[in-house]
Amino acid sequence: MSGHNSDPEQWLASHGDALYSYALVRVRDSALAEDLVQETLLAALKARERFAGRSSERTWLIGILKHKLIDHLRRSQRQHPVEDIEDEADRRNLDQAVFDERGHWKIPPGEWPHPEAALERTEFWQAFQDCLEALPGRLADLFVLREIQGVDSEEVRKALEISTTNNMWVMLSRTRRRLRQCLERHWFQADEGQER
Amino acid sequence: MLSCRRASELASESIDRRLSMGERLRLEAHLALCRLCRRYRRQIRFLHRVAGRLESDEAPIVRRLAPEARRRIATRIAMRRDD
Repeated sequence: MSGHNSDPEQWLASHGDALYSYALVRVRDSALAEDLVQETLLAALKARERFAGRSSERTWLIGILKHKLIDHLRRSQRQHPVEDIEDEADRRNLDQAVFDERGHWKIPPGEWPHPEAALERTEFWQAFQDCLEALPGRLADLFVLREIQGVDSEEVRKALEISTTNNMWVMLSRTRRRLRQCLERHWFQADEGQER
Repeated sequence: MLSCRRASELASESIDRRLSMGERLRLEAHLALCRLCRRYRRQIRFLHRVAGRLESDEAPIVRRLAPEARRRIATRIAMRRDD
């Protein structure tokens, strides 16, 4: 396989969108995601001989991008608010918007028509990304690390400086509630509207 | 009887950790009677599956590279190749 190697000219055309999208989900900053794609392709160009064709070209490039993402996280070591004081007030307000004083649904979850079919639609994934970007940064990071990347919970807790594991589950629960509500508004209700 | 607020939290936590026997029983008792919380659990489980898809190398595209960015990157790569 090593003779007819992969062609760098084609990388951007074949994998540019996939690399960009992969990065964008994780950093939610388009300029930064573009830089990461560029760094990835330049690094790939340098390491070209090492691509043995054992994995697919896409897998190889994403592997390089993953390293770039880790480097970026180390460099930035984001400044998170140390504790969740404003989150706490925020949470109460949100809770009161969704539940009444006895804890019953004030805004009940709506019926989602054909959720599985949504997975096949490009626009659904765009809406998902929009909703992810609409979250407070720390909650988005939490969702990405736990739900998308499946990073070990203790590692995530330390990285995001969340005081207790229990707090982390509460934050994750809030994150899911927000994401659910956003997707309902921007996809499932909008979609239903289109079909009528 | 659990409130919907608490049931929705437990439904979420059941994705993240093993619930205690008591929590599980209270949650299931609530869900048996509450259609909205059953729906809520179904939907956040769906979100969990959606998230899982994004980790794959063949993950769906959430947004495409802007044409200007694509041109800029192509130029950089071409420059580097000629070095």
